[in-house]
Amino acid sequence: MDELAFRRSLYAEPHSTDPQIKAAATSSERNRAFAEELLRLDAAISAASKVPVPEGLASRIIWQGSISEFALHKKRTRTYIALAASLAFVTGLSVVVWQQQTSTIDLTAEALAHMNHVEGYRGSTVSLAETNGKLAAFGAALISDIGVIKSANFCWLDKVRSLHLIVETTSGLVSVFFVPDVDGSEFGQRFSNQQFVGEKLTTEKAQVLMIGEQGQDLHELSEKINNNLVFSA
Amino acid sequence: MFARNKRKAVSVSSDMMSKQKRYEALVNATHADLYRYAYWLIRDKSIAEGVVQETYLRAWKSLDSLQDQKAAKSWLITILRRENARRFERKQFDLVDIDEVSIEDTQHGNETELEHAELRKLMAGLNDEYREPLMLQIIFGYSGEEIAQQLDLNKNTVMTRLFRARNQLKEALEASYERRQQTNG
Repeated sequence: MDELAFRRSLYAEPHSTDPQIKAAATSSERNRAFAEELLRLDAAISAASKVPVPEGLASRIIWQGSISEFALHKKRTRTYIALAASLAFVTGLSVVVWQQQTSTIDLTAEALAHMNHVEGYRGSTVSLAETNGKLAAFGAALISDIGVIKSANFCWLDKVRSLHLIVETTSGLVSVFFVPDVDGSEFGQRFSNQQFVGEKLTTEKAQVLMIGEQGQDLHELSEKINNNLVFSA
Repeated sequence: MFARNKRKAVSVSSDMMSKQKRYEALVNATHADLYRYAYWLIRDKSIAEGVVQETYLRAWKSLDSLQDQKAAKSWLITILRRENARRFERKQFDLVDIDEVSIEDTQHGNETELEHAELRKLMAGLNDEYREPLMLQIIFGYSGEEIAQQLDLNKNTVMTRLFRARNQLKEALEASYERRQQTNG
């Protein structure tokens, strides 16, 4: 190994364990001196490189690690809470929307469904005065008979309080529902299912639903109600 | 159902405990060398400390992926170098101007202290590409092969840089020694 290569190698790695370099280091006094000189230099560099480490650095690093884990846990918990909250919110919102939807669409269906429960009405009749007493709840009154009123009861169509009259007409029994003019209670002019047929009258303060058997003529009663129903101011 | 959850929570926290212990051992064994390496890379005490803390924070997050304990040092150095590089991407003005940095200077007591103070200045003044492999060798006792791997360089390149680094330091030291002799004499 020539001297230049030897020196270069030692400069790069003063602590080299390469046998060739170790051999070269003992081959001459000059080389030995040079190797020792470089070891001294390296010791000096090593000592000089040991700048003081900031006090408590290890504790700060460890502390920071635990904190980050804790923060991660908290963040996860927060995420779950947020998730639960949005779920609850969406559920609540859906219920409200669903309820509003049902209240807008289904009054006629409710009225038709209600017909299935009126089979067993009382055989008695209800006077016009008694009927008007109940109609007063809608601010309405009948000025004369519209037929024999067999029954007059308040009932609930969905969430709407209505007055249910059962009237005997020439074509048979007809159910008449007085429904306050609630926002969102919409009916088609005519409606029906397999068994019943219905017609709607819109008056100034209330809606009137008439429901009879399929094929029954509701026109006569409709005329009578139209002519006799009045509203207080 | 609650009992099961509770058991799970206990095992999770015991996992955390062992992770915490491994982490503490890692920090205690490596932080001084890593800080000094960061210091010589950055040449600013507080920035070096910040980068070291950031490095360990990242190390904590992926501690589970560290299987080989022997590889820990090299792994930390890799994270630290990446963190340091990221610092330059983030803000250019973090760049340290060597003329403005006062390198840690211990009291001028004796000739050795004087030489160390001188050496620190000279080391800080070395070109980055010479200083970095030198510090890997000095601080971590890395071989030329290991430095080459760590810095993703050819081994011959590393050896040349190490040679130049020491050569420059030696010559500069000798020059300054001669200057001192002249002024003293």
